[in-house]
Amino acid sequence: MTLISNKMLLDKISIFNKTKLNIAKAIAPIKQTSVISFKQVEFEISQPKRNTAIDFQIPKVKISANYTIPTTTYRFYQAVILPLAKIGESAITELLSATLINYNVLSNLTIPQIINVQISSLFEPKVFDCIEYNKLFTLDIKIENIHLSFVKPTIKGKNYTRKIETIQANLFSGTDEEYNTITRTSKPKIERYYTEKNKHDKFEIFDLIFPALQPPLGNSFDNPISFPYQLYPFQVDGVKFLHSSTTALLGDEMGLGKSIQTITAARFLYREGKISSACIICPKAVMSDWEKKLWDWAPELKVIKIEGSKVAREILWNSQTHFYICTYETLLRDFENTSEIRGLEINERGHLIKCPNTACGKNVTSPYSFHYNASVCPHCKHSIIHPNNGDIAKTNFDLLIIDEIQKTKNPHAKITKALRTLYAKYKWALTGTPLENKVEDLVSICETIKPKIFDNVYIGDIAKVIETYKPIFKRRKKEDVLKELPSKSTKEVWLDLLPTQREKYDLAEQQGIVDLEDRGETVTVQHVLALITKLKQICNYEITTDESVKLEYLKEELEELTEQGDKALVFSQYPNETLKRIFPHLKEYSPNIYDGSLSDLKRTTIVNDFQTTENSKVMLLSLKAGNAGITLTRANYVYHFDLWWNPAVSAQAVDRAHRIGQTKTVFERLLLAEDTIERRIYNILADKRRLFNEVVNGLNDANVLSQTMTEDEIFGLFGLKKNRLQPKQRIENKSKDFNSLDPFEFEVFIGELFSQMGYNSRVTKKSNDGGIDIFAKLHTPMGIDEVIIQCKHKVNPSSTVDVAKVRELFGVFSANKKLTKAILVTNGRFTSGAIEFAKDNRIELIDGTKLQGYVELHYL
Amino acid sequence: MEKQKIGFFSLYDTDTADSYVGALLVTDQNGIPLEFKCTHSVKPTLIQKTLYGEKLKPYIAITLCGIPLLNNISNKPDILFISTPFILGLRPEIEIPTLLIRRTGETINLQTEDDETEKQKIENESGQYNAIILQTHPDNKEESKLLIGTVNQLFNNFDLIEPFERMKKSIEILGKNDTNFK
Repeated sequence: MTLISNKMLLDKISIFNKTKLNIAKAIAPIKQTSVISFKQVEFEISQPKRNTAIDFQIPKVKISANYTIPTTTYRFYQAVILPLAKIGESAITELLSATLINYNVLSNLTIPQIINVQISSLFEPKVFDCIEYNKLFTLDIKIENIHLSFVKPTIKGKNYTRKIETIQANLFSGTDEEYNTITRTSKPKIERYYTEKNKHDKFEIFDLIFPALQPPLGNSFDNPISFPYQLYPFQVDGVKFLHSSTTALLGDEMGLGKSIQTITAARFLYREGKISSACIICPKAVMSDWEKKLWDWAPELKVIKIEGSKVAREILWNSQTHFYICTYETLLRDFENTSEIRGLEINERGHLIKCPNTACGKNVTSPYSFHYNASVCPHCKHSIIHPNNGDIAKTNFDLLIIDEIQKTKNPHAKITKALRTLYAKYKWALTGTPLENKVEDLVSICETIKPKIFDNVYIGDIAKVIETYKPIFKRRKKEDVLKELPSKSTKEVWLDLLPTQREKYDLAEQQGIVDLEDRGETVTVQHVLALITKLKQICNYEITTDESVKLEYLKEELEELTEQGDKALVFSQYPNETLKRIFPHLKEYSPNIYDGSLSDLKRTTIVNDFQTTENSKVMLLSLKAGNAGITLTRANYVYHFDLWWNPAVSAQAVDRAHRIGQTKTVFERLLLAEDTIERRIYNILADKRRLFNEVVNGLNDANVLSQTMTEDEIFGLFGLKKNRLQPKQRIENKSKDFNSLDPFEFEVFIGELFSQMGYNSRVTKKSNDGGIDIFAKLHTPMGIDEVIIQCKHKVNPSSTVDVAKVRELFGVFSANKKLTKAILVTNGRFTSGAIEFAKDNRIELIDGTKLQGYVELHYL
Repeated sequence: MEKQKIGFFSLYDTDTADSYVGALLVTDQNGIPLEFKCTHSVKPTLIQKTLYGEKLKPYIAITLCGIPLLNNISNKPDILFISTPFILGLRPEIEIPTLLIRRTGETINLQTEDDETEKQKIENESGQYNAIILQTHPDNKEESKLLIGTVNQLFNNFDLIEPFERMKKSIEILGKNDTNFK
């Protein structure tokens, strides 16, 4: 730009423009004129008075074939030209900045000095292209006031302290404490309930920066931070490996805590401000497990599961969060069209793709964006909407975690292409499969997380391949870290019911509650337990659709653990409703079912086969049958399909594997369904375990649940309140003196007594009863107890019942596989032989003394 | 050490100095964040920049950001640390003891009217962090001496310079996710 005082030019202004200039001068005295020349184009404007400004517009001027300065408004102020409109095109910006004389220099000069800047020669302005000379002077001069005051900025933020109520505080101090989610270890240990309310706390942008506002974490974890459990040294190594790697493949064997190491390493990155968004891609069966683990191990990080309808998923992808959890199937659905574009190269700025305009076809860097956010080809101006064709997935993360990456070993599969198209600063992959045995799989997996890693490497040269992937791969086997591991590791796995399972469950629960309410005062704990049983069976396996999220999870686990040469036990309290249903789905693992229907010989054969051969990889055991007395140390993975009220029972079950002779760490997994009765029971029992010592060890009574939970709590599981039943009237003409009854009356009396104890009982006919006097059923948390009772009334209470009677009962009992127990009741006594025989054969003996106790307990 | 609320206030600008964000972080005595507040970005026009000249940043820091942030925060700090000398001008406007804190060895470019402010050097007992220097507003020269015991204790708990880095990273993350903070 050149500023000239050029009287000659003034002579060339048209009369009309001169008039305008004169009017302007009258409003704001203009002392002198200046000419601003943009290289080849010159404009004349008036020099304004100090502290005033003049706006003028340069009409659209074509500078060259490629560049046209759009109509732009400029403000002339104290010899400074300030472009008010943003030019946009970088080339034009450069042009203008190259031509503008450094206005800082100008602003330091006084006006007379500016005016007196001399140029080598005066020359007439040169006009190029089709701009008419006179048009250069059609300037619209305005005088404006300039506002200098600032608008007060809006203040935003968040208070991160929260009031909490602790069980301890309420019981012993009554005071609330403030806490910050990071510092649980510096406060009394507090359990946070994973409830619907907590799960859906509203997420704000200041939650996003919460991790970055925390104090830095030292390598020895020596700053206040809460961990549910102490990490083992090998896990600390794993965390450090991940944290220091933008690309990593963690291949630890199952059960060594890959997820925990990953979450902790991610937490470090969040705390350091290195990442602000992450995505976990995983199989559906483990989606909820990831959510739960993040809740336990990174409570300050918000998690969103991408699921539901397309509309719902779109909203979720657009929501802000620290972690997205997405299944492989969902990713494919939400990203397929974009990832179909072949030959994608990705970098920090976006995808390199071909311009869709066939006339152009040049490579374009299309920035990462959500759907409907178009970019423009700089060559032909064609609009490119990216991602393509309605894809809704977010495609750009700071951290991408791919769980069970061995599922994407096929490089030509759509899901593999989708994964390779996502961009992330950090890419971590997890697998438990021993990939070293399958080099081609390993190569494909490594290419997914680090493209072109094997460029210039001949895949047939195994040593070279190993050398190439070694820096990004870490694998520990259990035998490598056995000394650091406990002999037994227990974990709850929370799973979301599959869609139809959920529908059936909700329907059954609603109907069940209605039934309970309809019963009114006649409802008993047994009715509630019956509903609980039904719902738990649906959680295990939905029989109309064969849907079972627990089975899906189990299959994922079995696939991996059998690959590494391990075996598993699966326990359930429902052999018919659960074990027999899942059996056909596990055929590839040659399962066996161990339950009460097996003969002794068959049981022995199955156990020996499991222990000594590689035929069967998994054994399905009914709790009652498989709970004691057998050794199954060949297995080191134990899965409980249902929750045990009595922890001693589940401990006994896992002790089939965790006992002398076991050489490996035993991994116990409790499979539980989220948002179901299992969660509600778990929460109540978790409270009790915190407050009291376990009091249920050794209990094997059918009413173990009611001794673990109160009646109110049992009814409260369904939001019901137990109305106190009216006391049953004494049985008329019957007294507590059962010694005076005749045999049949005694049978009726015993039948009524068992009803009082919660059984549904039925007294058989007086004769031809097949040796059974009473049939009784009891709904327990462990299932339905079907019991036969034989009554032996003695005129003289000192008389004894000998072993022959017990053998007789045993004969009837063992002939009927459906029965769980046999009971022999007498008002007399039993011989020692009878007692001995009964003990070994699951027959309960109730003598006169015991009977008296029951009567006093259950009758007014 | 008894419970304390420690405030950290600073003004952050973009590389091109086109916009400024004022941020206030309040932590406990261990550096654990209790509350964080910041302003939407302040974008002075070229004319404002020219006309305000050297007064622009102090004006934005103190009048537009500092005072409103301190009035707005729920967890009022017991002591306030700042990282840039021109923000010392905040002290006469508030009741909270305010200390300028720098690492020893940093170039001192005070730009304050009075160059004879009291400076106190604080060492970290464990040697984990390099020593820091405290400075007060000229009208509150005794403040650093009065607070030296408290600052010593705090500096043994955590590095008092480090929270400013956290705030900077947080502002960057906010800017990426919401244009109001860019």
